[in-house]
Amino acid sequence: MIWYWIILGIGVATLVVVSLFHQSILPLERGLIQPDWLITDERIAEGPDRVEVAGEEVICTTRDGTELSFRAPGMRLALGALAFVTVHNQRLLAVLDRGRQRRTYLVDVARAAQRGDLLAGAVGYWRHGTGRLLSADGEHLLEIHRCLGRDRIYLLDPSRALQGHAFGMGIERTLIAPVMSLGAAALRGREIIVSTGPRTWKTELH
Amino acid sequence: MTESLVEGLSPAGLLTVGCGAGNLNSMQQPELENPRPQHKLHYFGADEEEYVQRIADRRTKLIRPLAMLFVRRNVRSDSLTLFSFLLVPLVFFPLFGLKHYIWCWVVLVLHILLDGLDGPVARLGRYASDKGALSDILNDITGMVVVMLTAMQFGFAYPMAGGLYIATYLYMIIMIIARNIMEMPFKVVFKSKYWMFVFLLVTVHSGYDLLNPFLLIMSVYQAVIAAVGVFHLRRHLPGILGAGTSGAWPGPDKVAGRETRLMRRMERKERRQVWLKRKKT
Repeated sequence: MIWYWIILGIGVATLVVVSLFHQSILPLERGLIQPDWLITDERIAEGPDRVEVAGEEVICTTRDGTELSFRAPGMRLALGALAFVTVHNQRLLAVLDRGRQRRTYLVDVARAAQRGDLLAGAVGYWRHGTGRLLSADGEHLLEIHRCLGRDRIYLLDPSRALQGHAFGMGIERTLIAPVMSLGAAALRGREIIVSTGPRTWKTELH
Repeated sequence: MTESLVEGLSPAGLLTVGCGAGNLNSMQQPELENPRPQHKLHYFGADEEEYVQRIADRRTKLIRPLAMLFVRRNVRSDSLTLFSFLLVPLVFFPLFGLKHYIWCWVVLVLHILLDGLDGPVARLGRYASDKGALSDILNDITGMVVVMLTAMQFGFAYPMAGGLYIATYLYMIIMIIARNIMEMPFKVVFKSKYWMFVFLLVTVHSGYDLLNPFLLIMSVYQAVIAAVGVFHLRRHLPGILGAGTSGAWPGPDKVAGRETRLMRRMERKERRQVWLKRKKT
């Protein structure tokens, strides 16, 4: 009889682990590839827009030099978790919140700065799950996720992800990262550059 | 990166973001209807396939709100399959051993529900693939095998009847899949897995041994289907190392004979349809 209880215990524990960590164990993918990562000396430079995070305060310096600041209460923001993306000719700030909600918001910075609150300027969101880092170029966005074995790099179409409220709906391509624990990423046209800090890799999408 | 990397992504279907609207609830529903990809990895007969696809479409529509809950939470259909897969050996089996039968049936229903839900989740999330279909088949078979082994272990099925049932079921499934891949599917095949669950439930709660006769009858049926599958497959497979040996690939005379018979059958069918039309008018 005791064996049945032991099997039942193992079963329930396994099911709980699968439910809680399903995105790390079986990550979403569409068009999965393992690209040829080339080691490079390039440094991931900041783009034309600058975003700084100081506690709950987010300060954005736009292309024309205007400085906008707003608060993001209750959010866990990291510097690499912000990027400007163009969605239907509107430049929006993608903000990856690693707090309890685990959402990526697309924010109209001007409106957010006017009201002083990040969420007041949000025009939409999607659930990112295990997302850690963001990068964008034009209408495309990169989300880097922590997964079991190797991290996944997702090339997203933000408008599709916004419609489904889930990053899974917006995935265009999935790439397997060269190593775990990436610290920075950049998307330049079809080129993807990722870095752990001391080491940097790049690849090109075909 | 100006061009979209997604095939068939239409700008018309995309949402206009911004334009002064800051309402998170104002997002439109996603465009989810995609052309169904043609998969060979399934175990339905040719006549069944169309019916099963129609049922699958209807089921997708019916459980769409539930499936969208999973899609919106980035739950992959494979996760549902894995969950469903683990439920039977790790929860159903010990619960049966502990004689918590009601909970057993609850777990079994959950297993069937999740098994039915992974397809719609994959279709709505645009992840449907043959990989998922393979996992689904494995999950289906594992469910049947574990339930049958459980019934044998706790004395509700004779080992011989249960063993025969499992073996013939597996042979039958292998034959169906092989023939679907070879593009020569069976017309209709009856799969008794869910009926076996029902007979087990009735046997457990009524005390009447209905399961064993059912297992023996179905074993005979499954053995016949598997044997027919083997003979048909052998007729269409090449001889030694793919060489066109006589009797392996059908010879030209055989092919011509078969085509003539097929033509005659078609003509008879057409004549009958014309006759039926005339009769109606």
